[in-house]
Amino acid sequence: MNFKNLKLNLSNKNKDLIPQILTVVFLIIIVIYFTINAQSNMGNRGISFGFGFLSQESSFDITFSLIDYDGSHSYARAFLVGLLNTILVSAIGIFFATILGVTIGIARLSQNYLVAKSAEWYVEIFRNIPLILQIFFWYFAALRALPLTVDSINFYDISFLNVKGWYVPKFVWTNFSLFIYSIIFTFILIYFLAKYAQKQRDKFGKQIPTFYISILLIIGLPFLTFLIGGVSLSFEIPELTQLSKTVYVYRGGVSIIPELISLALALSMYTATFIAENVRAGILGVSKGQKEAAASIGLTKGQILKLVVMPQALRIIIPPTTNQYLNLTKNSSLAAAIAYPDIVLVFAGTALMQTGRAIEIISITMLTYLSLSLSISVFMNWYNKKMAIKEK
Amino acid sequence: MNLSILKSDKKNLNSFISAGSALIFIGFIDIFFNSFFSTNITSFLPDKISYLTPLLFGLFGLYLIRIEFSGNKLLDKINTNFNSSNFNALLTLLVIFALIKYIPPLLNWFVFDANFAGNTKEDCTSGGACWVFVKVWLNRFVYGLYPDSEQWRINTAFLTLFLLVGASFFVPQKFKKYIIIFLLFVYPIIGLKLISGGDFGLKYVETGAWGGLSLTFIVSAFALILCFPIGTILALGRRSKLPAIRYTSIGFIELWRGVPLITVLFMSAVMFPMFLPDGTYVDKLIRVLIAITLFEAAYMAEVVRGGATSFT
Repeated sequence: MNFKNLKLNLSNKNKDLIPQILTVVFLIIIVIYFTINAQSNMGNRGISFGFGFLSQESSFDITFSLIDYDGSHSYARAFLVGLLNTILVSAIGIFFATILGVTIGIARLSQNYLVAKSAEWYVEIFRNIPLILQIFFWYFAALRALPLTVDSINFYDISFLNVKGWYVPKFVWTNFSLFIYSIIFTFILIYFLAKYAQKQRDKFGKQIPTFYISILLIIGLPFLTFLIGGVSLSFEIPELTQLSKTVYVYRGGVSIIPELISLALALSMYTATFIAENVRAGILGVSKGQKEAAASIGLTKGQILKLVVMPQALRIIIPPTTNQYLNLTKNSSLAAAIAYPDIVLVFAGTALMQTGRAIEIISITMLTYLSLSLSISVFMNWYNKKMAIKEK
Repeated sequence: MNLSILKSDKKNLNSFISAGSALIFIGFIDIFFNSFFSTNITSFLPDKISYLTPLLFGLFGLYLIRIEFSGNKLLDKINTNFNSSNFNALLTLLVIFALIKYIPPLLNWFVFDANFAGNTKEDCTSGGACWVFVKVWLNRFVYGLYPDSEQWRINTAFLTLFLLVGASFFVPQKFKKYIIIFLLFVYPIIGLKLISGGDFGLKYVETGAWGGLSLTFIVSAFALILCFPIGTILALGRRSKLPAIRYTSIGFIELWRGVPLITVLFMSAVMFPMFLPDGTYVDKLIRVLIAITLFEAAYMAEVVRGGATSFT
């Protein structure tokens, strides 16, 4: 046995072990130190750590809520309202940011000098103004300049825009669940259709017009539920009612509060610039040779875009774009600045002020965002692995 | 003259160009009158057609001048950049019309109708922007609540900073190193001491009075200087072979990247004091600085890691 070698190995192991032990010990000491301090601080103030307050009555109102809520509900319910509002504004923002971003990104690549330049100006302007200023601009400058309730802007007598918000018709459904089931069923059908079409193409080289059949299915099946299933839809149009001599309000319909409008506008216009750059990078990232090769084997322009350019461009576009979606969701916390009742304002703001439970509430809020981010990034890693080019 | 076949070609170049430009010109005149004198010169036409006339004239005019390889350099340039297809022509027209329609009112509001003179709210008589407000409050925008008599300290600190940064570009390579070391390690302390005061006969100004643009610069300067080394350490930690160090770094980076800045600031304001021994007080500005630095360090770590991975 060679002892010299053994000694060397041991010292190598030690070299690896010492910094690790130091790090762990350091972390443990910090955690213990903070815990002791927190305990003594809370003991001094007469509060004990715990999440029991969540079931207490909250006794504050929230201006905008998707679910049934008033002051008699619990803090947990208030948290849920805030979370739903955050998800709502993020979903709206993501939807419009994607549409706008893709349009601007393609416009930046246009042959038309004016279109390309305007898109470039848009990107440079909106990307370089802090988001919170843009939110303030829409909320305090743009939407405050709208007319009063009496002379609101009228869109074809069904929807009204004024300084109090945007009033849109409410959908009144009967047998709504049947309609939803039919849509879910349609998507399952389309999924199997796509699988079948792929198999046919791979085996026999037959092309099935999946796209047109899917569109037919999406329109057709839900429409059938109207005819057979007894589903019906009517609209409740907001109506101007006079409360007193000078006070007018809109009754009925759905009211979209100005905070939501300005937040969604600012978030989508800001995030759209980043998505536009991603789209541009993705399309530019597909080499010219690919397009030329595809053209040389006789594919049409549409086929080149669908079969050659897009699959490769999407691989470049999607990861950073998901990152932007995440950023948008996190940025929606700036809602607190214009009093849109999102999770930060409702829970980390009002609820914290009332209960004084800083540690619990801030940890819950941070954990919510963290789990949202982490779950999306886990999904993205899985997606990237699946989409990565597999060399045969 | 042979305009009967409405496909332009090189033979009748001049007549096509003149006809096309005339049509485009009419389109522009129409939109011009509409937006500046609010008169509709095509009002004799039915409502909906009259609304679209500038577009129709412009489109047809652009169609006529779309002649490939005409030999005229300017025309070829216009055609390839603005007018390569009907769709492109439409986009060009829409952009130009939008500019004509929306730029002048904006300019009016910002410059021509705006108020610059005066000192009170009542001086804003015309309908445009009220720059008087900005003029009166400018001092507060830049210095916050910092006492007027002490503002020379902020000015000196920033002027020295700019001079030193400028000097580092022009001095010989030999001295550059020293200037940069001075800027990174010594100057921040001197500048902070100069602005906060308390010693050397300078009046103490508490951080609550700092504010405005100068505070923005101070916070971002410190966060910028501090986040880079921390970020680099974190990035190296994430690439380390030692599991304890790697997982600590990953956990730290993902924790900060997963939460919004505003909750981090909330945390530093209301939650952090609970973790310190009772009675210790850490200045609010320092807490915010630490929060922003750690937050940015996590992002910086990913940037550094991206750079490091790209050349292995």
